[in-house]
Amino acid sequence: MKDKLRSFFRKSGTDGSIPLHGDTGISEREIGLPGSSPKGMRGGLGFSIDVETLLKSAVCGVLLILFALLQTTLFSRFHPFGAVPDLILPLVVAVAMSEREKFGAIFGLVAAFVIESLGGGAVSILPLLYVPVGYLVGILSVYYFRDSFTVRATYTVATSLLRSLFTIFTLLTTVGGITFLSLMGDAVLPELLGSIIFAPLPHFAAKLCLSPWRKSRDK
Amino acid sequence: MKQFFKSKFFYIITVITLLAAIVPTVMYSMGVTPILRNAVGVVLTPLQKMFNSATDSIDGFAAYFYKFDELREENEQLKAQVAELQSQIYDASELEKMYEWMTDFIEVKIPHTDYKFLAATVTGRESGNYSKVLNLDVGSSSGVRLNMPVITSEGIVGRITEVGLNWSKVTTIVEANSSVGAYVERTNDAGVCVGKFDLSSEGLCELNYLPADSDVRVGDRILSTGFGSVYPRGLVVGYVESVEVNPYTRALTVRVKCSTDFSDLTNVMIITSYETVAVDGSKLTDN
Repeated sequence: MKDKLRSFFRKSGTDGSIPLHGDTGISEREIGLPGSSPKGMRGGLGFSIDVETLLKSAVCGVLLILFALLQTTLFSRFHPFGAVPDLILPLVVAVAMSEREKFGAIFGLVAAFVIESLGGGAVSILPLLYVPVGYLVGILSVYYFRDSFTVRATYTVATSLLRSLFTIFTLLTTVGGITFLSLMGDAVLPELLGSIIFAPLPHFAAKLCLSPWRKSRDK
Repeated sequence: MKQFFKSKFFYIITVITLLAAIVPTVMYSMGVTPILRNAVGVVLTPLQKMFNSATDSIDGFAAYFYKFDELREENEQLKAQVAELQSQIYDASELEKMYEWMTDFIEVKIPHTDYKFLAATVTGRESGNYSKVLNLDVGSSSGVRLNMPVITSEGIVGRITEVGLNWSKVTTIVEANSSVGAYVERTNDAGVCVGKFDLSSEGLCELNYLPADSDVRVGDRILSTGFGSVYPRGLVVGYVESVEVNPYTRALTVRVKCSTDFSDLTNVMIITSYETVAVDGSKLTDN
């Protein structure tokens, strides 16, 4: 049973040290691991910057702006389930799942900065959440777990729970006289529920927009 | 897995992340907006406004569905408020009319300090087509007596011809055979204003018994002489509307347009007491 589960989530033929992407393997130089020489201009981060990366960055930037504006206008007006859902975190997860850990981490950093600029408060802690999430999800999804609905759902729920912890911390440190019950009932749980329910939107958008590059990579 | 947390990229991104979290927080606490944050706001704010407008439209449309009960209740409340406000407007309108009437009342009272007035409201008119008689809402219980003159700020209305306990009737000066001693203010020519049946519907009466050589003209103001013990001197009867000279008898036919609009009367004043000046100059109080 354990072997079956392991084989379900892990990519076939991998022991964790030589990662696979999709059904075909990718060479080390694509990965950007130490010692490799990836295509395009090699940056100081060991990150390959080429036209394809720039295009992907532009597409992700547009998606980021779109969901950031939706979150700060439409969803902040209607408050589904009583709180504003976090649409950016699932977007970071989706991008990281598609474009690996480095892209995911940098995207997480930019996303945190943008959403903090548009609707942030006094304490700027979202980079501490989005960057590690982008990095870890990128690692896990590219090198260990196959892309599937279950995996995406698991990432979404787990990251949303992390987001709730951050919300609790932020509210406890910035809002005085708040009880735990009202904290959970009025803010944390509605935000968690809304974020999970609306997460398919950014996942779908990211998968749709980044699928051309993924297909070419798989080939 | 460990190699991912020992790579150069990991160290660099960790440092940048910590700076991205700490620096804006510190700058915010100092009241300074970071430049990059400011730049993002400048670029994205117009887009945010656009999204907000779209959200307003969606909100308006969606309100039909999820705010129906709330909208219905609000509608009922607004209807009640409108009805109340309409009532207030009506009351205000009535108050304004009362104010205007009171102002007119004062205009008559000031030059005639000897007059004592009793305010009355016209409650009805004669239903027949043969007389111009008004019904008032005051009678003997309020001190009304026969032959008391009734006026408005515009001029003479008529005289009390019938008195009940709490009602009375006014025969207007345009009523057939009603008469008022009158004179032309400009020329001091005296005559008698007589009501005529065929002129009453037009609010006209005829000024008779003027001297043949009277220089009466159209537009001359006609006032009461005070003779006849009904109307005090100096009340406005009307204005000359036409002057005709009989070519054979040289008699003048003067038509006077009464200054009071009998068709639109609602509030009148009954002069219950006034002073008259006797021939020897002494003052007498009538009524």
